[in-house]
Amino acid sequence: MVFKRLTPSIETMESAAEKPHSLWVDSMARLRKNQLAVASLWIFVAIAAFCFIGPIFHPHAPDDSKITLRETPPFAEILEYEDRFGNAHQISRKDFPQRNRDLPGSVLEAVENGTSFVYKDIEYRNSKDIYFLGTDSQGRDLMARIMQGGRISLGVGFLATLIALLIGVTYGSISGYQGGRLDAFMMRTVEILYAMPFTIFVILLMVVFGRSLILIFVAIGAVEWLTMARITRNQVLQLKEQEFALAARAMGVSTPAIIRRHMIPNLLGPIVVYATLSVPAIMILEAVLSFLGLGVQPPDASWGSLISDGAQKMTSSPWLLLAPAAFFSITLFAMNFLGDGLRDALDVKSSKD
Amino acid sequence: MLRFIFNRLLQAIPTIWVIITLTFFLIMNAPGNPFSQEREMREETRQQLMEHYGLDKPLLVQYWTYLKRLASFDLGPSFKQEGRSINEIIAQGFPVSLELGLLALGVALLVGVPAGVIAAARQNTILDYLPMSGAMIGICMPTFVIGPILGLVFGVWLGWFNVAGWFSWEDRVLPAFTLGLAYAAYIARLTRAGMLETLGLDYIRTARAKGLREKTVVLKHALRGGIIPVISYLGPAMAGLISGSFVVETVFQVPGLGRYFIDGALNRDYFMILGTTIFYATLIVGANLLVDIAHTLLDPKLRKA
Amino acid sequence: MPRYAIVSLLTLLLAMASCSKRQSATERAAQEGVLLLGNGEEPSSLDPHIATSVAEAHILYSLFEGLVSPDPDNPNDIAPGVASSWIYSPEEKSYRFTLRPDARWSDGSPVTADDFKRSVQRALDPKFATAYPEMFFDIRNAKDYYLGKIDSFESVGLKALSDHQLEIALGNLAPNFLNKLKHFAWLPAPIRTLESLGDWKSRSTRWTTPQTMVSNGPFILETWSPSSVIEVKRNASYWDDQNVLLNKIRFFPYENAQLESRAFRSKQLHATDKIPVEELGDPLDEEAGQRFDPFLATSYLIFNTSSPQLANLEFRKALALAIDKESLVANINRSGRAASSFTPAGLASYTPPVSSQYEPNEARRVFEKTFPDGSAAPKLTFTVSNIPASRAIAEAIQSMWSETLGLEIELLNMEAKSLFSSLTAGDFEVSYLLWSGDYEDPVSFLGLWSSRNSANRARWENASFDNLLENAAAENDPSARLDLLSRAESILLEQTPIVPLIWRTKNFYLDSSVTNWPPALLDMRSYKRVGLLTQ
Repeated sequence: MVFKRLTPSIETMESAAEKPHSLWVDSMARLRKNQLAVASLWIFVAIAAFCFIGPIFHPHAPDDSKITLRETPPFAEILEYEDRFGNAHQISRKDFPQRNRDLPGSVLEAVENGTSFVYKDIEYRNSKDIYFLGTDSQGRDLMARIMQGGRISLGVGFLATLIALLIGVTYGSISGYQGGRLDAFMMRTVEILYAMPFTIFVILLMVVFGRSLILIFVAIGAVEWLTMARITRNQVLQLKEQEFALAARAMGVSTPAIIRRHMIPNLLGPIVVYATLSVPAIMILEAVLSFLGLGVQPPDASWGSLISDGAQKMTSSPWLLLAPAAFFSITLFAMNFLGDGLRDALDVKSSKD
Repeated sequence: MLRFIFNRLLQAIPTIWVIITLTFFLIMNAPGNPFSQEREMREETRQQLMEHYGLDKPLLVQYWTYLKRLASFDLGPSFKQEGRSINEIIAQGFPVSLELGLLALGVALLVGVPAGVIAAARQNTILDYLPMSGAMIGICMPTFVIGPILGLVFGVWLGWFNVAGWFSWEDRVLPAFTLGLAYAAYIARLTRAGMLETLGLDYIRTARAKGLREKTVVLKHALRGGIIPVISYLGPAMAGLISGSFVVETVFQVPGLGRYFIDGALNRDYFMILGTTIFYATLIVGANLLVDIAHTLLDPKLRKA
Repeated sequence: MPRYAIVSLLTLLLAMASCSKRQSATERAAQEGVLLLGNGEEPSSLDPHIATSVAEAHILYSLFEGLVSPDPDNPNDIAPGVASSWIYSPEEKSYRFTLRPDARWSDGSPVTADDFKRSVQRALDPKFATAYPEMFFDIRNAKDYYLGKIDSFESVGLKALSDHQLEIALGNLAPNFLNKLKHFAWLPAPIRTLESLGDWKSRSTRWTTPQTMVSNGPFILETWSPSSVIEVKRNASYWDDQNVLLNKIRFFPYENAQLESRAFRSKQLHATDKIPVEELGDPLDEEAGQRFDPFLATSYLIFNTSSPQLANLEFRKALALAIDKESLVANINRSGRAASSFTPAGLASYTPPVSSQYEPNEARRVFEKTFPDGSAAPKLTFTVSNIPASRAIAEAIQSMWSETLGLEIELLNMEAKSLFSSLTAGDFEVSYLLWSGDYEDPVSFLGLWSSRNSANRARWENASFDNLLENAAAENDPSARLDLLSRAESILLEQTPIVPLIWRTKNFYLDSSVTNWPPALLDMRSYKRVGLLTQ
């Protein structure tokens, strides 16, 4: 019943090979009418551009640590100076009196007035640098780190989903289409892995194989494909019993051709919807791993690790939590609404199982 | 029917066995051992400890010993909590996790279902957008952020609740809300979608045409159909709530099983990891079995097959 | 209806909450004489011979009393415990302890010299796997017994002369022996209770449950709910019970420092075990109850001197010179002092030598001399634990080295167990660790780097360093001994197998109602005189 609309009638079977396009054209037209989904798409594109193209225009590097500049709030006035060894440093004007006790009155005044001054033979000048989102506890520019974190988080989300897609769809369609004993065996395997407590499985993988970015992709993808395989299998099971598939088989169309022409186009809907919804889920899982100290390796960052670090400092330096959390939430918002929009557009009623 | 249940039970055994084997060899091959620590242990002491726990034997022997132990439902000792058995730890920790999970589920339903119903009944008004945006925030914010914020606001600033511990009923409030909110958000979305679908159906139109009050239509007639997706979500939600509570347990110092899970992995407390994994796996397999049985009972077509 | 449900639920919650705006937990506890302590982590064991962590030690000192105990007013000193007095005979190198006749176990039976003797026997048993065997190695033949070289415990220099007379014969001069005696490894186990429960020499005999535990300290175990609370209550059989001020102590195993701090600020705790680094005031926020006490612990950088690159002394020196320790203290650790030696300052009459400090230009010079024209400047791997505090230090040093020396450093974060086992296996180049002393003596620090110590993870060997340590062990005159140790430490600092970075402080929150909570260098104290003020 769910796929009534997608099922071509026997009369149109001949042109089925070209037809799937119109399905997409239809769906995209429907998607375009959904303003929320379109806006979400644009927001998502903007964030991705910010993370991937932003660094070209951004003056600060994510791993450039100016330790004296630690936990400087957004838009703070910055002083620059050279220490007695000739190394350049920066410090926020507000922090200067707090870090140096018992300043003479003249210096205090200069600090207040925002002018240059000399203290202990060191000249402090105003710096032109602006840190739009402030700096983290190591004095690194938070905006640069959010860009970097976004690249990793989005990368993890999409790559892991892609891995899950590839494994899951292949596995599920083979299992579903072949049926019989092979299906029983393959689904039993999935069931075994399903019974593995999911989070502990990822954690175990992280502990056993040490941590690397690639592994996070693989570990998460390796767990997420299970649901994908189930969805695919169930769809294939339904599809292959439908008239058009039966007809195609009766007409002697080869198995790969059936899968390619009749199964895959009809599978795409639920799979795309599930994929858009699983990207945010994976990003949250990555964040939890970061909370447990099993996420990305510093000095690299992900939005999850930034949020996790920020959560510890939320009373003393709230921007460290708010800024990455805002990016993270907005992205997840956008992905979710886009997923909903796609679901409506592709007319998939139930994406989970 | 009994035969079917018996068969399924029989099939569950190899499933569990594969999980045991997989976990056993995974964790035994993890780098590090339970006795490595910041203060280097004397080599002799380490040897003595390995002997004490039988870790000096070849891996396959250890595996066989472990299986034999399991056959008598003994999950082995914990290295980290010297002298306590895993059976004991699970017996103490699981009820707490279960209680937390059930309370969180209660919160999720109490908050999620009404929010979803209101949103659906007032589609595309402020009463729709507001709860739904709230729901999105609930889904987006990891519990390790929500937990400390709730603790800070209701514990430190307002002084209404304790921020740590699991002693009185008041101590249950913050952890249950923290854990429940993410699920509440999801349930709200499910309810809204389910309600919208039912509200468009013929029998609702009939009910409206009969002149029933809108409130009656929504609550008496539409809710019954609209809530179905939520009900089928309860199973996975419960599994997630019980096994996914470790963050909340850490943030509020709740003595549940979830934390032992993670700590076991980090401490290389081999039997703890194995024990908790097996326990949860059995739970999940058992739950799946129940679902299957229910399906079979409800669907005569399957019963014959 | 659902709207009303939400509204009424919220009102209900508000109503309940406002009613329960109540007397704080700490105030109520103070009236009942109950001390509420944050205690770091869940103890592994409350058996003094199995325990390893400071968190366990905190509880053990409330439950047990050794021959000597930390002085309640100044825990860095020794006060008589079960032993009321002792005599040292230099010729025989032996101590004779006289035990209090009124010392009792909580089951009413007397604490005897034999209890102490058999406690040591239990701990040293080659099958027992005690965590601190070296605390007993000053006793004649104790090490051989532990290593299984002799079978009979009777040849170990420990004799119960009578019920209340204990003789301990030492194998070598041990000027720091009484300090070691204060360590929790020396706390006695209730041997007769153990015997009634099973094999008294076995690690697996379970006697530390509230139902079975018998102890001889000011408090006895009342409840132990894992991951939740450990409660000890006043021991009526304790010989000095009339001078104990508290009725109960509750130890809460709060591992998460942020959680612990929230618990303190919401008045659920009288004292915490730590302060989250982001809450460290500069200077300390006394109003909020912050305390930074001197503490015998040094965090340091360790080089694997057996790795081909770091076998080069000049390279190690260049690395050390390029570290701005002051900046680490001011910006990352936000407490403690820049370390100029491995043994922290603060030990009576020991003046540690001073290591070279931050000299970036000198560092560059040495580095360029070692690797002329930037040839083959090595790439180093810095292995560090994934705890945020350690990670932050490593990241800061990484950027100092890359800025000053242009060195490429790969940071490898590992979770603790993997890290420590790769350190043990020598599978690392640079790492960051913390060492805290076991007793108040430089040997507790310097002994770590002897080439004979299997815990010497730097794999550094230096004959003159070893010789100086040995000479010091044989030196009778205390000041000459300390002088030898100081010379040994100079060699250690000069050869740079390690770089001492920060002398740590013990940072914690303490409620103003807690009285007599003196600083303790080893963070081990007696709770006898700790009290609580009530309003």
